[in-house]
Parts: sequence; C-alpha cells; structure tokens
Amino acid sequence: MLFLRSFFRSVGVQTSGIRECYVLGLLNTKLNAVIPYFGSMAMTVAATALAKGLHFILSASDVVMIYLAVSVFVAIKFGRGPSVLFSVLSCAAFNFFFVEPLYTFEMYNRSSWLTLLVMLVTSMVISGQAISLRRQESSVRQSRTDAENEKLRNLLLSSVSHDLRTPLASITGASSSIAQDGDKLPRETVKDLARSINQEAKRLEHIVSNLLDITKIESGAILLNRQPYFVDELIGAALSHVPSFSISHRFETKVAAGLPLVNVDGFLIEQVLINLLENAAKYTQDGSVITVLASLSGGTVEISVVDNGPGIPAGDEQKIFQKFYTGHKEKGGTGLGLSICEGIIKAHQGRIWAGNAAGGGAKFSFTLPVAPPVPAEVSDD
Amino acid sequence: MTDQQKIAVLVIEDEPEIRKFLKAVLASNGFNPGFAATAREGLVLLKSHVPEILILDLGLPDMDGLEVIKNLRSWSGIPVIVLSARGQEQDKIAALELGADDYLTKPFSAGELLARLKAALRRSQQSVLQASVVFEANGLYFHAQDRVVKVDDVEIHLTPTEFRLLALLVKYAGKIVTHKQLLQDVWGKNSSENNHYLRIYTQHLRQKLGDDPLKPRFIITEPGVGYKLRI
Repeated sequence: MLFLRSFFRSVGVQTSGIRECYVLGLLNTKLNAVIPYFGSMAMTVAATALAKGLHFILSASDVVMIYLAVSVFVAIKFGRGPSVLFSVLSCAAFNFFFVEPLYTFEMYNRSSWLTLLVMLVTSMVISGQAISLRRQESSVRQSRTDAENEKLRNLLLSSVSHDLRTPLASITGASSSIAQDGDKLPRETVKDLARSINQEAKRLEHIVSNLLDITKIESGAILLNRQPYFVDELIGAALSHVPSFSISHRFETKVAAGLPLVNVDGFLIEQVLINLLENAAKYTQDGSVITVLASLSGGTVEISVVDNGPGIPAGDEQKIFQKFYTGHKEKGGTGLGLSICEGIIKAHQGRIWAGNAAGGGAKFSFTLPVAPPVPAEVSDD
Repeated sequence: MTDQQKIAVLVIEDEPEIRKFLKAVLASNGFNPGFAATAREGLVLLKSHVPEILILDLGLPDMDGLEVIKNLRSWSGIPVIVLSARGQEQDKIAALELGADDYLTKPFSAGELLARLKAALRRSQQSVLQASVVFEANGLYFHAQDRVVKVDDVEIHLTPTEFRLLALLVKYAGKIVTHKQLLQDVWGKNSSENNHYLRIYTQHLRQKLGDDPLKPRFIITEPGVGYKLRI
C-alpha cells in the first residue's frame, strides 16, 4: 500500500509539474484530456505491482480479481476511454507477468485465452456500469440544484410581486382619486390620501433598495471602501437614524474602552447596524430597551444588538438569515434585511449570528476585523 | 411676498416629474424657482439669472453634474445642493470635494429638501458675516485668532494638530468636510491615505471637548464621507 501511495504521489507531482510548464490555454486543455489516460496506465502498473507483490499467496483468479477491482476504480475516477485502456493494458500485463511462460505475451495453455477474454469483457461491463452510475448520480445532483434554484426563483417572484403590488395598488388608488376628485374631496381627505401615497412610496423604496443591495451582494459586485474606524463612531452614526423608525424604544450603549480601530467600509457597517436596530425595534414592544454592545473578542471587535423582547424561536437562529424569511408575516418585512447584513459581514470576512440573550431577548452579534497597527508613531507638534 | 422678496433658486434637473414636484414645494415656501433640464442650459441661466442657491442633479443627460460644480466654483460661491441616486457614494464625495455644500439622496421628501436649503443658506450668510472668525454653537466657543476654545465656558487646551482639525470643521461648520479634505488641509498634500491619523486625532479632539461619539454634541460622523460640525 505504501508503494501505491508513493506511486500516486509521484504521478501527481509529475502531472502538476507538466501543468505548470504548459500554461498556454490550448495545450493545457489537451493535457487535461490526456492526464486520465496516464492515470489509467499508472493504475495498471500499480495493480500489477500489487498483484506481483502478493503473488506468492495469490492464485491466478485472485490476480484477475485485483485487476477487476481496480478497473471499477479507474472507470469511476477517469471515465470511459481510460477505463477501456485499462482493460486492455491489464489483460496484457496479466498475460505478461502472470501467465506461463512469464515475461512474454505468449501462453502455453489455451484456456488462458478464455481467462483473458472473460477478464476483458467483465472489466468493460463493470466499467460501463460504474460510469453510468456516476452519470446518474451527477444528473440527480444537477436536477436537485436546478429544482432548488427554481424554487428560490419562484419564491422571489411571488414574494417580490406581492410586496411590490400592494403599495403600488394603494398609490394608484389614492393618487387617481386625488387627480379625479381632488376639488370635490374635503381638504383633510386629500391630505390623508397624500400621506398614504407617501407612506406606501417609502415602503416601495425600502423594498427596491433591499432588492438592489442583495443582488449586488450576491453577484459579488460589492466593492468595499475599507478605512480605519472606531466602532463608537459607527454606532453613534447608526443611532442617529433611530428617529426614522422608532420614537418609543430606549436605546443604550455599552462600548468597551480602548477598542482598536476596525478596518471596514463604514457606510456598509452603518447599514448593518441600522438594519439590526430597526429589526430589534420591529420585534419588540414600545418602550423596550435595545442595547448595543461592543468588546474585543479573539482578535476581532464583536458588536451585538440585544433587545428585551420575546427573543428568537428555537430553531430559527439560522433560518432568519435566509432570503425572504420573515419571523412574523404581519410585521411586513421583506425578509431581506438580515440577509443583507450577513452578506456585508461576510464580505468583510467577519461572522454574524443570532441567539437569545441571558435575559430572554434576541441577540444579534457580528465580528469586524481589526485594522493593522498605525504605520508610524503619530507625532504631535 | 413679491418675486423680488423671494429667494431665487435654480434647479438643474432633467426629470420633468421631479421638476414639477420641486416647483410646487419651492414656490409655496418662499422661493422663486427657475428650471433647466440640461447642464448647458443651467450654466447659461446661472450667469443670466444669478440665483442665490443651486439645486443640481448629478445624473444629467448632456454633461456630468460634477463638471457643472467645477465650472460654477471658478466664478461663484453660491451654495449648491446636489441630488443623487442611492449608491452614488463616490459621486457625492466628489461633489463635496469640488465645493458642493450638501447632498440629498433620491427619493427625498419636501421637508428634507427645505431643511437642507435653509441650512445651506444660513451657512452661506454666516460665512459672509463671519469674517470675525468667532464661532459659537451648542456651548462650543472657538476664536481662531486668539486660539481660544471653550466648552460651556471652560477653556480647553488643544495641541496644534487638534486645533487645526477643529478650525477646519469650524470653517465649514454645518457642512460635511470629507476625509480627504481634512487630511490634506490638516496634515498636508501627501497625507490623503493616512486615515488612521484622522481617526485618532478626531478621537483625541472629541475626548478633550467632552464629545461622546455615541451621542455627538459637536462633531457628527458621516461614515464613508467625513465629519461635520453641528451648528
């Protein structure tokens, strides 16, 4: 076995060496097509060496079995052409090394021809079976991913079209009513209609920008404008947006002293914090306390947003980061906010996770990479 | 109020529906709005009508809005408010660096627009009056020539770098000063990449002023863009 392994290793080294020599695309493609045949040859040598090594305890039929077993491996690993090559080569090797007279392609016994023929046919049939098995498996895998993608697409379409149509319907209705009967309607009614147009348009804007963000993140089109920041600045900036989504929650902060600078896209991390704060406000009652914590943890800065609401239902800790997953339909979220957070944090090579705080409320945490130390000592005049 | 008493504002915006909305809001709030649908037309009107403030859309059909700011700043200092689409962060920063005063991200409400217009006008009037280089707001007192800084009447001792940083924020009080502007003006031309310095000195300055970055009283953080002194 040791011999086999080192043999493979030497083949592997050799092929990768060849690959490095011919970096030209076309040659490389040709080479990739040829490599399995070399593999097949190598396997013939390996199987022969193995059989030869164990020859003193093996009968001729055992040797045939070794070749057949390896032929299955070759078929699965290298495909049809190389497996046919292996069948032929192994028959030849069997004849050469194991059939009297040894080390010639001749044979004394006519029945050896039959052995060889049966070996060739069996090896080919087994390989054929193995290959079709491999194909089936990969096509099952392919159709499974296709189905999953299809399901996701449908979910996206139905979710988006519903979320977009509802505000559009209100806007169309309210604005057409003002356009048609504006002069007959009481002033207060006109104002009411205008307010609902405004509110629904904001909802649309929210959905559309979320969709754009998630598309940007998923397509990898997101370019990070990384700069050093102190996290308290980013938390402060995010907290200044609170009035746009909450007037009744109490926001508190516990930021450890002396935290190092983090190396992040400040605008995007502010978005993550706003999303988490808004999420906390949405799922807790008026007057609840929402706390932002920041501390140093294992060489990264860890930030958490904790609330004292009902917490996350057991088993939902991961699901809530999935696209279009909303904890409560009636809260009217798009189910994209947390996916966006996850996308942004992952783009920063950070981690984001959810769980419940000791007190029972929900706790969302993420880590941010610490900035490299200041280039030179900052000198003040 | 006659048209003469109203504040002349020029809007350069190619979207007819946005122009319509701006016309309604501006006309009913003490402004006398003029409109241009292209950058070329806008540049002509800027010279012939001499408005007191400009509202400029960055996505114009015939010319980059940034070019309009560059052209305007070579001969006029009137406040400019830039309208941009979401995601054009780099354009906003470029506009500020070319001399725009503020930006609004579309979609925006009538209330937001009026607040920005009033702040920009107040700032430009102050900077005309305020050759005296004394700044006072929210309990912060700053005297450039005497090099005196006080918070709630208590004198604060700043290092020369901290003082330069604060002086620059005071000079543009109420307006965002970008990272690059701060670095170049405080540390010199070649420092535009050393954001570390900026963070660390801003932190020192805040500590001395007793300004909590979590609830800023004086210096407001605009992530990705710069800092702004509250007025």
